[in-house]
Amino acid sequence: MNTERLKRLYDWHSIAGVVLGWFLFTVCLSGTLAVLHPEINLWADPAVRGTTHGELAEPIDVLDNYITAHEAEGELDNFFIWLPKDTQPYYQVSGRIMDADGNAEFQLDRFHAETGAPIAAKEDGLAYWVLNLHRHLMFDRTIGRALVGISGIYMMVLILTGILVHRKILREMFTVRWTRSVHLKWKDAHNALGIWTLPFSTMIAFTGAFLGVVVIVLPVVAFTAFKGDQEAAIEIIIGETSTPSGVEAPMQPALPAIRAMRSEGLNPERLGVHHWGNDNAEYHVYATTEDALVTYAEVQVNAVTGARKTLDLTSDAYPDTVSGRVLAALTPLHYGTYGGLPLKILYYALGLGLSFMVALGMLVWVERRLNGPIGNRSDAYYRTISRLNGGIMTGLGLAYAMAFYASRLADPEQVNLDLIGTVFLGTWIAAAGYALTRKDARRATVVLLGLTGIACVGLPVLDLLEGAPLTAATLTVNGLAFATGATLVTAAWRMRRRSAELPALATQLQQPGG
Amino acid sequence: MRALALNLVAFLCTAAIGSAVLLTNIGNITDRAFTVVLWLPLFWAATMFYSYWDQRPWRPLAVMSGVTLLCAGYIFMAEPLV
Repeated sequence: MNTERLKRLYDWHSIAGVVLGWFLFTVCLSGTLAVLHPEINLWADPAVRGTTHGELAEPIDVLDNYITAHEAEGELDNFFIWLPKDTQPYYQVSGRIMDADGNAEFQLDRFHAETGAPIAAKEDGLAYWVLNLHRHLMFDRTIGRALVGISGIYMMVLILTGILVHRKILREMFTVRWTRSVHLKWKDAHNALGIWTLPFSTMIAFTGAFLGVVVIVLPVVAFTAFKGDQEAAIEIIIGETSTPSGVEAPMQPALPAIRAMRSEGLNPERLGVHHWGNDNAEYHVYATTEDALVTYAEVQVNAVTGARKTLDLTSDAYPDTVSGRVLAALTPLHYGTYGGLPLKILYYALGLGLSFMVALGMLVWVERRLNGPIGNRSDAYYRTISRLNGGIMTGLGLAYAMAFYASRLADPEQVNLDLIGTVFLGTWIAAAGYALTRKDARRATVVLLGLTGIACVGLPVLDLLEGAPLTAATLTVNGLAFATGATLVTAAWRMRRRSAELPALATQLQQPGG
Repeated sequence: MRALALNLVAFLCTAAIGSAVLLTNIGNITDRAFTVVLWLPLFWAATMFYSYWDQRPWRPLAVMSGVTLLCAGYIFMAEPLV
């Protein structure tokens, strides 16, 4: 490759990285935490933790209770029942309620695992925020997902240009010059992290891009190939959907099908109930499996006779073709749901590595312009970017930590998205504002990094002080919070020492004979 | 302005190729739809990369616009799926 082309690619890599840096960092760090959202859900709700359940209530009785509670509100259909599990020791039932004016609303209720009786509803809180800030940035679902998906596409191009401009990959994998200048240290760490996380980041960028841009690709495809008929496009892709027969019939219990799946080594998690009360009613039991890289293995059961119809390891939405299999693998690959907690811990570590890599790229870009020969803007401009870098990136970590505290320290009845969002955004804005008003950007970053570290270390302490029962899921959250916090405090300590040494070194060099 | 134009044309080019593939008669429609949906993000990234790889200022725009027009012609001539 000629030098001019290499320079162009390098320029693109650095400009695109800087323009999208804060956004990419937000998507990467939020995704790192989103992987653990079921575990965070249990961590945030000690009241349900450690609940053991014996014989499960029949899901259809639970559905009956749901229908009784909501039948006066309108016509009910599209039922989904989430079965109790370690990270959610109660039933959750969701249904679509259509009022007389044709307005549809989905309502999610909780039920006791053993008795099937309704239990206190809890508003969406920390886990919902953690998951959906990553999935659609808490914007409108279509716009938010598309933005996150486009960031995945840019990440793919950044990865490709990064590989092309770094010609000595093997050497850079093992090179971090800890004793050299800050700029070299950050640059080496950026390169090394980029290479070590390369397979992971490529996979995450591709799967994330797919999951995000499908919402804008489908309307375009429907517009051109289906005369704008999106429903026709969906029907061709996922098959025709049946309608209720209108002939009433008694429903068989769903537990036998669930037990049969368990005895086959599958782990049923969700039950879809279609055409409830009709003679063509079906149960679709969705199970996680460690034998196949699919979102769910699915068994369809005739709800009137109880006879099993199919066992489809690629789930009903995907045909048994190469493309279908690859598509079925994308969601579990992206969210790391196919290998239990050890895999999630690995995803967390790699996700943090990826986030730090993005952050270091931003820091290197500013450092080269502030203290190097390049850049055609004023020092004040680069100093402002440098301050915002520290405030926005370390502030995001602090905002997450404060949201964790808010969800545990506030009155459980008051915990909802408004509270979590206010604490999260308030902390983030305050951190950015603090960094922006400090003269020394590096010192502000050290302070925020140290605060974030201390806050993370405090999370397991808070959990232990409350005396809530410990489970594998909450131990994982506590352990990762402690490890992350300790690392950040150490990093802040080292940066502080380095900052303190720099003026002394400069004074020493200015003295005669220095 | 050029970067914005390149990004827009890269998206249009990607969508046009995807739709043209969908309207061909290769394999069954479901598999074609899945293939298109699966590979579009990768192709979008590839067109964006190409637009920066090519050293001549306006050639990527011309190439991608040409491909988009060719695909649009095919889409116009082909039978819609509904």
